[in-house]
Amino acid sequence: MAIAPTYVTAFTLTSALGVGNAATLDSIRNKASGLREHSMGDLGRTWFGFVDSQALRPINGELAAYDNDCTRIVQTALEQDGFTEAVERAKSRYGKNRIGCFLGTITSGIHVIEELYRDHEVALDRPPPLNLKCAYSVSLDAIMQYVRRKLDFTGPYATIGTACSSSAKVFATAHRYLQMGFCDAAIVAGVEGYSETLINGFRSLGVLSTEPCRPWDSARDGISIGAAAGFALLEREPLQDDALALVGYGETADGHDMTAPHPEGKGIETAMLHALERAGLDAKDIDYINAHGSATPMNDMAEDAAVHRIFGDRVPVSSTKGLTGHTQGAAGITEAIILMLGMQNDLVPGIHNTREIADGLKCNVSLDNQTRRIRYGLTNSMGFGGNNAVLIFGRLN
Amino acid sequence: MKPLQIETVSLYGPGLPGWHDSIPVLQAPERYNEELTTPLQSPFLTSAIKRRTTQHMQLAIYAADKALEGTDVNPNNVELVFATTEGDLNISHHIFCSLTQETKSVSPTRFHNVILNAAAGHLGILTKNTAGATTVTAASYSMAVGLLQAYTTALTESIPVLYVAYDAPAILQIHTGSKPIDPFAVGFLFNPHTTSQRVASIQLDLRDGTDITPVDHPVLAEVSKRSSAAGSLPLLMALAEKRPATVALPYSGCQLLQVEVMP
Repeated sequence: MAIAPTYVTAFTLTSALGVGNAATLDSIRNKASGLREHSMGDLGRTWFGFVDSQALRPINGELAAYDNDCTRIVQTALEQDGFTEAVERAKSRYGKNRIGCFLGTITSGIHVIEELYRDHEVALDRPPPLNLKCAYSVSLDAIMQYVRRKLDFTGPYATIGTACSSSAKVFATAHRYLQMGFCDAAIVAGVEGYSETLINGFRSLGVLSTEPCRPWDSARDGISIGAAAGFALLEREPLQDDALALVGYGETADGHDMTAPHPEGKGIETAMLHALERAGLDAKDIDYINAHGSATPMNDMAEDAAVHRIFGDRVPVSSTKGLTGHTQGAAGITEAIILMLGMQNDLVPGIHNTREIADGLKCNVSLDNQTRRIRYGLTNSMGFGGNNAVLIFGRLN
Repeated sequence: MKPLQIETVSLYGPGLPGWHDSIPVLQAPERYNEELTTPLQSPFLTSAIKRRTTQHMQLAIYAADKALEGTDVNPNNVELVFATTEGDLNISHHIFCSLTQETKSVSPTRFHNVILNAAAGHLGILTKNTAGATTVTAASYSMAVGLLQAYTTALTESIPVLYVAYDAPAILQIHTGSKPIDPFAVGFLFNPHTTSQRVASIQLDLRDGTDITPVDHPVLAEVSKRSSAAGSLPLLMALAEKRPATVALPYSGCQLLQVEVMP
């Protein structure tokens, strides 16, 4: 039996594609990637999806302790698309203790402590002297505390850390809390900023591309990282007749490897099947798939195999990481919002930077933007630890 | 809210060498000996797993094994909810030190182990578990936040959920002024269906307030404050005493997670 839909009553995205939904949509329509060359000095170069620094400003006032590059992105994101106003209206309807929040991130404001280490004499037996700013920036819970205080609500909450599936899983978690009645509206979010840990961690793994990433391409050689903050407000009832809703989700693990996906994509395949089952849909009902499509050789191969087994070559598939970069803990919601913008605007985003589909990959990859009505769209997320999450959104009348 | 069965409990902490061995101490805290420590021993903690993981992850894997031991739940298809105060900050410290070097060379193993869900990932690989796995954090409130996450998952999906809360000491302490953390892990196998084993049923609700249930023993009370996972001690004491109880756990700066315990 299908689950009850969870309605998306507001959403906003700030990423390398722009600040807010209109800028994001414009960039997609104009095929304007937000990836920029980023020098790592003697260690080479990569391409990164930075949020426009001109759009960011320090956090002042009583929340100034939370000020760092990552929370500045959050501050800017919350001011876009009437999102804060939508939360205020929800607080008026339900009460501030009935608003929940579920947020995905991998690194929070980790760059603050990276700088602290750089500025002090440190050794393996001697961490640097820490200050209060660290507690307000580096804790994985710090962004959640900032958001709760900034928007002034006190309902249930959790920061979810499942690597690159984190901010896809927040949707499933929010759905469950809403169904249980622990809250009447839930903010879901994904936030990731720049960090040396991510850049050099992926570089050490040999999967950081030196070019703008090229998902599904025959010459793909790894990821480009990006920063982003995405927010959505979820409720049990729609606010208008033509409404977007989460209609299905699937969460699985590969049980296979900490970094590599199951080679045949078994985990993500099962998650897609679970999502379809919860949505009460068949594969033929899906009009577009926003793939995880990280552009590593192994990931795209595994995901392609899994998608093709279920959907064949009928459904257009694209990865939008060539536009935004891989926004890590924010990837799930970044791509969910790009999918929802596509649903609202009859737009299937084309894959970016991809010149030649690799031999053996069989999905119907959308190389260019397409005008197409999307009633139901699906988005995949795959993370370290073999963690998979799939979301299906519907445009319900 | 609906009741949820606790099928089994597992425990590891200072002076608390496993759930069954700790029940007499939790029933009569005057017997508590903080100095009593036992090695982490579990069939899951093979030498290969020990090489790939740290104490932080091993605590979680231990608690998971002990909670599954002797149950009918299939370890390769059980939903996981894990909660911990932060990731492994020893690994973070090592990586941050590496980044101060010219090569900025990060160990690939440390890189994948620094993620919050590293323990769940290693356990999933070990048991070939393909069910969903979610790791949550909420600083010092992580245990209660994870408990509510596990409760909602088990009841809405109508599936067993293995919940583990765990914390370990680290050279890097990002919360200034916080007390040193003890190695501590607690596991609960929740089952919405009737099972042959049953410790108790619980019902959870959120309440405004900050008056948490105290631990009536000075040393155990201190232990309960030294990590988020050890904040479960009032609940564990109520479960050990096998009597109906209402336990208030710290959930946020202004809220409590109220746990109705029904033996």
